[in-house]
Parts: sequence; C-alpha cells; structure tokens
Amino acid sequence: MVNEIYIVINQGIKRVFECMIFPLKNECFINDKKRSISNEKIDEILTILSTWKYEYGFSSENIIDSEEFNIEVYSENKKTNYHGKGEYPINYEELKGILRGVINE
Amino acid sequence: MSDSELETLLNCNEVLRSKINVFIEALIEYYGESERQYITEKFSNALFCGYIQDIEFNAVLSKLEAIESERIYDELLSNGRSTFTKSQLFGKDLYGTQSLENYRSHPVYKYKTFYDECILGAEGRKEKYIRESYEKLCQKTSKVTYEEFKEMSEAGKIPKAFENSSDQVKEVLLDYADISWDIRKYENEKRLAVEYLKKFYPEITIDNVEEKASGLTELNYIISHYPEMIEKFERFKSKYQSFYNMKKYNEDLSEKTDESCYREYLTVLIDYIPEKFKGSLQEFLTQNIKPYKLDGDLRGIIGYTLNGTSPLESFGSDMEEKLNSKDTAEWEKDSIKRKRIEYFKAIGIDLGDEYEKYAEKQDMFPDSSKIDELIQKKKIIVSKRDQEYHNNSFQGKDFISEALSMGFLDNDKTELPGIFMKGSTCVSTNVVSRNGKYLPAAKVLIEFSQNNPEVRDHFIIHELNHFYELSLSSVTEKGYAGLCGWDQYYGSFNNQESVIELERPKRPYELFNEIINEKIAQEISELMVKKGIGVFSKPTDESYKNKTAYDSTSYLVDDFFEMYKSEIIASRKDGNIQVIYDAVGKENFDELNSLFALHNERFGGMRYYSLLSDLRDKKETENVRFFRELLSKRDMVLEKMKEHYESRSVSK
Repeated sequence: MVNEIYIVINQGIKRVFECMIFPLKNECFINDKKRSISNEKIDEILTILSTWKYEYGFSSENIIDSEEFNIEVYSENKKTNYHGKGEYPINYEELKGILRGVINE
Repeated sequence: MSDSELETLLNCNEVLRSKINVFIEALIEYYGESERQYITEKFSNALFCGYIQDIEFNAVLSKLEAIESERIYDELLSNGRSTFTKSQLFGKDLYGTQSLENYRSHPVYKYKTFYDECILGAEGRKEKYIRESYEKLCQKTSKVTYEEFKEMSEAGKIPKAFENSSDQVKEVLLDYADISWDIRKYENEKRLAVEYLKKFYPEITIDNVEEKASGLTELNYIISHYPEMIEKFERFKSKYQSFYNMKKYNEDLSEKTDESCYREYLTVLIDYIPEKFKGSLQEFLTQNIKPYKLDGDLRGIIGYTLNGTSPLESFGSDMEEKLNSKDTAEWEKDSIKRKRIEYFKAIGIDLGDEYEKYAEKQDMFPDSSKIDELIQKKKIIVSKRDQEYHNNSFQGKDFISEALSMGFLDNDKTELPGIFMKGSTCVSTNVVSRNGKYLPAAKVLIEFSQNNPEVRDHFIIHELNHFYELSLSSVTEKGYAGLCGWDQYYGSFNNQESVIELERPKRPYELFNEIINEKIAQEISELMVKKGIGVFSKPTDESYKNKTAYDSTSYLVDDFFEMYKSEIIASRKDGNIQVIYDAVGKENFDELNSLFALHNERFGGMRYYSLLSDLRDKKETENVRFFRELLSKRDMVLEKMKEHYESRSVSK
C-alpha cells in the first residue's frame, strides 16, 4: 500500500511541479493548491512509475537550466526514488499530463 | 489575462526580440558602462527564442474566442429582452460560456435546428428534403427531371431514362429518393428541442411543440441572430488568421508524423508479437489502413500510442529484475504483474488474476532480451517522431534556420524537441566561428504561457545572465566545452540522430553555480524594479524574490556572496574561475560546494518545508539538528575562506 508520493520537478529556477499525494485520503497538494485525486489517477501515476528505471543520471550536455525530476514513493517501510536530469523515461510527459489534469480539475 | 496580453503570448517571439534591449540595458547597468561593448558583442551571438507550447497556443486561441464570444453574447442580450442566462442559452466550457467556435453545441442551438425546419410546415419540409436529395442525384446524373424524381419519391415510380436499367441501378435511385431518414432526423431534432424547452416551459410536449414554437418570442429572437453572431465571430477570427494557419500547420504535421512513426513501429513490431497476430498485422500494413482500425487485442498488448509502455514491454529485463529483487516495493511488483496479466489475457490466455498461475508457465513468456531489443528500437522511433515534429513545427523550423544563418556549428536535432516538450526556459549553448576565432553562442529559449507572468521578466534576466557568463574553453572536431559561470558544459558536433545512452558525470558546481547566478539575477531584477521597468511582469519585489527552486539553498551562500561579490563576479566572466579559487582557496570553495549535496540529500524537494515548519514551531527535531550542523559547517568554511583571503592580502 502506498502512503505518500512526493514529486518535485524543476527547470533551473522554475518550479514546475511540487506535489505531495496522500493516496489513502485521495488528497494532494500540488503547487500550493489542495486538490482531491482519484484512485484511478493515483494508479495511473504508479503504473507509469513502475516502468521507470530508478536513476536516469545527469546529462551534462550543453543545456543550462534543464529539467530535473525527483520522485519518492513511500509504501509500508520502503522508499522508492526516481531521479533524472537531461534524460527522461519515454512516458515522462504522460506523468506530467496527469498532474496538469489534477491542477485543472 | 486581457486580449492584448493573450496576443503577446501568440506573438511572443517577436515581442521578446523587440524588448530584449531593455533587459540587456539592465545587465549593462549592473556590470557597468565599461562592459557595454563586451556585452553588446557577446549578445550578438545569442539567438533569442520566445516560444509557446502547442497546448498553450491552442488554449490562448480558445481563450480569445471565449472573450470575443462573450462580447457578442452581451451585445445581443444587452437590450434586456432576454430572461435567459448566457449559460442557459450557450452552455459552459473550460473558459466560461461556450464560445461561438462550437455554436452547434450550444443548448439553444438544438432548438434552432428544430425551429428552422418546423416553420416550413410538413409539406415545406417534404419539399426541402426532396429538393436536397435531387440536387445530390444531379451530381451523378442529369437524366432525371425534378418532377420524375418527386414522383419517384412519393410513389416509387422509376424515371423513364432508367426503366430498363438493372435492379441494382433502380435500387440506388430509389435510395436517393427515399426521404424517410430526413423525416426521422426531424423527429429526433424535435425530441431534443423539447428536452431543452421543457426546462423553461414545462407545458411543452412532443405533441404541441410545433404549435407553440412560434410563440416563444424570446428564444426566437435569440436564434434569429445566429447568422449575425457567427459572421461577427468569423470577422474576429480573420484578424488572427495567421495563427489559425500555424495551428492547422502544426496539427497536420503532428498527425502525419504520429501516423508514419506509429506505422514504422508496427513494421518493427511484427518480429516480436505472438504468431497469432502476425498475419493480421501484415495485412494491416500492406493495405495501409488507419491505425485505429487495428485489431483491438493486438493494440491491447502493443499500446495505443508510442508514448506509453505497453503490456508487451513489461517483459523486458529491467522489469524482470524489479520483480526478482527483494528491494523492489510490493506496489511496483504488483503493477508489473498486472501489466503482464493484461498481456496474457489479450493474447487469449486467461488464468484469472493471480500472477503465480501465469508464472508457472514460463514457456508462454516472451523472451526478455528480444523485448529489450524492441524497447530500444521503439525509443529510436519515438526520438525520430519528436525530432520530425518539433524541428519542422512553425516555431522549430524558424529557430533552426535562424541558427544556421547565424553560423551556429552545433545542429543537434534532439535539442529543440527536448526543450519544447518540457516547455523549458533555458540556455542551449553553441559555438560560432568569427574571423577565424571560435566564440560562445547560444539559443536563449524563453517559454511563454498564461502561467506565472509575474516572474517572466526575472526568468529572462536569469537566463541572460547565464549567457553573459558563458565562456568557451575548447573546440575540437568532435565538440566543444566551456564554462557557464563556474558550471561546465559540453556540446557535440556528431549530429546525434538516434538515441544514445551515455553515462555522464554530474556537473560538480551546478547547484552552487545556479544559486549564485540567481543571486546576481535578483540584483539585476531589483535595478529594473526600482526604476519601475516591467516588460512582461509588473515591477514589484514579489516579481523576483523567493520565486525559484534554488531559494532553499540561499542560506548556504548569502554571506559568501556579500563578502566576495567582486571576486565572484570577476571569476564568472570568461571562465576565470581561478579568481575565486585564489581569493578563498579552492579546497574551501569545494567544501562550500559540498554542502549543497548534503542539503539536497536531507532537505531536497518538499522535505525543505518540513524543516521550515520545524524551525517556525521551534521544534528540536533531527531536521533542525542537521540544519544547525550545516550552518556550523558553512560558518567554518567561511572562516577558513576569510583567513585565506586575508593571508593573501597580507602576502601582497
């Protein structure tokens, strides 16, 4: 059972998403706004995350202020981390789309 | 946002470039008039790219349509004759009252569709349907007169010219003359109109609506003005025609690239799917059928788009490793197992919902190394799709051609897709050759959207300062490298066209560099705000203070910045990092840098708010103790820096 999900996505100085999800209460705080979040959306997020590697590394190429993601999922007594900057999973934008959808509801 | 602010977003690149000198002047004021020539020459190699993501571009157009539609509705209803609200008449959507772009979805339009036919009367409607069908037939043949057609419609009599035709031809003719579908359509329109009208006129029924319709003067007044409203709306849209053309161009391009790359993926896929699907997929590919017509079960295992991860891919070795590792959380394992069960059920093997039943039959499992191969090929196709779209979109192609004409030597095709898809505001470094000398160059990409306009000026200053601090240290035939302030960057000339996974080291001073750049940018923004200069943002303190992702680490460097500002600024120009090393000692500099990693490990992301909460509530927690340790380490480093600095001054 997943207790908490923390998602932080920054682009240089820009905060893109700062999100705390509490699945047991179907609540989340996302970019300073409190929202409800359905089980379906939480399942979608977790399904997407389960397909990711844990570390995508730092792509120190030629972009200054590239996007970085840090995601933590707390369940029972385990913490699962996902991180990347410059390299992203194939369905990364899908995750952000879900978060945007929650903000716009 | 107002109309003009929304128009600025649509024209963001033009507006950014027309106003960029305001920001450059602010930099000159900060660094001093003596820097004017240096800055002006340097910035001649910057390509300023104001851009807006597709989804935002479309949202802005929709918002403008909504604003104009509201104006048109208000004008119509301003005579005070209507007791209906706008939402009762026109419905609601994301932007408020539904715009005239979707007038056919307006609730009152259901009534109009019925009313326009109702007033013709039964005979008039019949005449209309026959006339319309006759006009359709005339596009195929001129051998039937209207009278013959009418007789065919009313009595089933075949026209003279076709009396000896085959039964098949006669059947086709009779089909044309059959107006029963039109009559059924009218009855359905009547039913929908009654559904709508009953909300306001409960006495209206399906039996009396035709009689009562002419008496509904308020609604009839509204619907009579639709042609006028639509004309006004189309005139408004024609003002923005070039933007609608851009939207259409991008949409057509997206459809074309999505379809062709999905088809390419299907061609690759044929070697990896179960035997039972190969025949139908082969047939699908040779007949060039649209992807949505593909077999449902097959789509269930390969995915509906290129973007997601399909059930088939859940058999890759990464997923296998997760399932077999005791360190993997149960929720992750459950998720992978569910995907695999989905795969088995889609291929017709349903052993229930317990994964262990499937796990017993390993011979059914796809080969994980083959799936890894497929995943790699899919990544390449996805990258190709993203490049084909974004590098040819109306914004992308212009930026690419401008960069080429400016002589940018790095033409990495993966650059713009990565930036556009994320809506990044960033500096993408590059290099040019001028008079036999290599110089640093860059695209300075500023994303525009309806979100956070209040900080846009500051974000532009932050990026411009990065460009100011850009220096080049080496150029070879393979690529180039340099410093941006204290941060290293690397670019390659190999025109990467496929996805290459490389192990790269973390840039050692990246975080430290960012907060210092941000502190300098805040001082520059402060100059603009004090003078009341605001280009895209209002010039207030809130527009640049505590707005960024790096503010949480500011405490590590505030004193350092104030104490060594002139050395810091000198060291960040032209790659002169040695200046700050000499001033404070490289070991001390590196030690201060190391505190960023400690901070992020403990307080990265949202954990920082827990610390703030503990500090505010004066709690003695592990977080607070760790924070005090960090402060203490910071203070010790600053003390050592001071000693180094002073000993340096003495020895001089």
